[in-house]
Amino acid sequence: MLAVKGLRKVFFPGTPNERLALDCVDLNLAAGTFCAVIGSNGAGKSTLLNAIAGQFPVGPGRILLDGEDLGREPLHQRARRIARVFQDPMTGTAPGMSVEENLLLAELRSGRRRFRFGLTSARRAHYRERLAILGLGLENRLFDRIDTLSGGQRQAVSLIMAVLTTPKLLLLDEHTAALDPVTADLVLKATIRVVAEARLTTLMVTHNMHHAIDVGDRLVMMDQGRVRLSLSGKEKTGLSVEELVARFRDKDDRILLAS
Amino acid sequence: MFDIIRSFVELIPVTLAQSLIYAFVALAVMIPFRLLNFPDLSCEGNFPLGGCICGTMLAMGYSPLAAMAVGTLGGFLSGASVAMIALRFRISSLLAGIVVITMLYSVNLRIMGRSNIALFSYPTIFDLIRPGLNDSLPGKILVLGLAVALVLGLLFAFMKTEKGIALRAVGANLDMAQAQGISVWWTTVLGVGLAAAFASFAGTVLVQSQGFSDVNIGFGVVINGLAAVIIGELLLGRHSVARQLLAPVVGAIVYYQLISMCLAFGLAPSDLKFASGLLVLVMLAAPTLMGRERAVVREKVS
Repeated sequence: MLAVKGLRKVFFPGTPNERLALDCVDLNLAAGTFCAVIGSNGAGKSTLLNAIAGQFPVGPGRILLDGEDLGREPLHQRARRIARVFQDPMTGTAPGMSVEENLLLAELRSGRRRFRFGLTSARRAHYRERLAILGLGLENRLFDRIDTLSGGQRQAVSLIMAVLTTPKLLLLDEHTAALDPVTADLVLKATIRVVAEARLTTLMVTHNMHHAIDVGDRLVMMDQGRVRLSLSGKEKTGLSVEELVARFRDKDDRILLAS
Repeated sequence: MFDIIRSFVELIPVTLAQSLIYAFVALAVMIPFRLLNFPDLSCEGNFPLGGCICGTMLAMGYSPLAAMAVGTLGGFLSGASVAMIALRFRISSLLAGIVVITMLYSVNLRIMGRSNIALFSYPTIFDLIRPGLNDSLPGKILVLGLAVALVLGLLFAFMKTEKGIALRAVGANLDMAQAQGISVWWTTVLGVGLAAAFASFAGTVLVQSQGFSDVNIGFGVVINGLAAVIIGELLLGRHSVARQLLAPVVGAIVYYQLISMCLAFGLAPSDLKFASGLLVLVMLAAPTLMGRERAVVREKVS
């Protein structure tokens, strides 16, 4: 489904600030895989997600989705097949517009936008149904401006927006990091549910070790722009937080030895 | 005092007709500024562009409809090029607009071949609707009022379509719009073009209404348009699409009456620009003066 091959990204090449963000990243995700990505700050997790989404040109290296090279396809065209939820709830929603208008935009992500009235009663009913999954009562707030919702509620709506039409690939960039623990838990549970329902291929960046172990069927640890560890199946399910932290340390020791 | 009030009241209908034309310019300021978050001042050049194209074509014997269509299209192309310049070369939309305004001055002179053309002897759109309409103030106000209402209705309907909602998303949140598959480039180019078309449309109507075309008719229209938008938003707020669209029209009507009042009180016409500027400044400064918003050292420009 998703194949990343020898992907490199250098920020500010040829300047004193030059930084190697991705260093030959290889990653293969089978269809329907829910993969958690962990790693310390600056490991390249978000850069990898942004590269896949098309935020900036990369090279050398290739990103293939369904066997098709995404090449230099611009972000907004990739968005037809790739849905994202950002860390900041403000980034993922359009302020000043109603909840239903935001959902409409998401629904039209993969299709054409026409000169026809957008918010039909059939669509509204569909949006109510989808929002009800969250159990936050948001199905009664379709007409409210989205900026009157709390950060957690906005993030929950962002999640529903991302999966409103079934994307080929779902990118979650620390989408619960800016939320309080209770809301974060709620959004994560909803994530697990909608991903399982539609069997979505998902990449989720997280800093939470428990989430990384408990959620999904694959775990990838990144460090200094490389994939250092990739676990799946039994290896992953049997993992404890202590072991995972130990692996982080292990990595640190190696860095110390190398320097 | 009585004389002052009487002369103001007598001018109300004339001013109303004028303000209904300039309402389109106010719309042309509001759409990029508020709906697209891409402040564009180029109506200072698009407005006379429409007037010059229309005047020249009328003088060449074309029908008023053809002259207005080409004039409006000219504004669309000019507005679209402002957006393209700003996006392609990554320069501020305001700067791109100023460059285009400057260039349009030469273009407008080239189109007309001289600085003004008298159009009294040619049939205008008003004659086409009903002969003698141009001399009947109530009739003119009715026709212009209907035109404004029609355009507002169409714009409101458009903002509720799938395309219209996408356009507003670009203005509300660029990252979100792109992540929802919307081409920011095309939306901005077409949106700013559409807005500029309203400005040049107003130009084509104005030259036919006043009976002559002049390269200098655009001088100061952008500040008038801005003042209208701000006054309208002050009166109506901008918490819904309907209010946001209505604000420039209501603002234009109120603003031109205020200007007329200043004239009635004996202000020299040449002092009006200062008064307009002062008005805009006070309106813009009001939130910080009243302490509702903390003043920032520098506003981020585009």
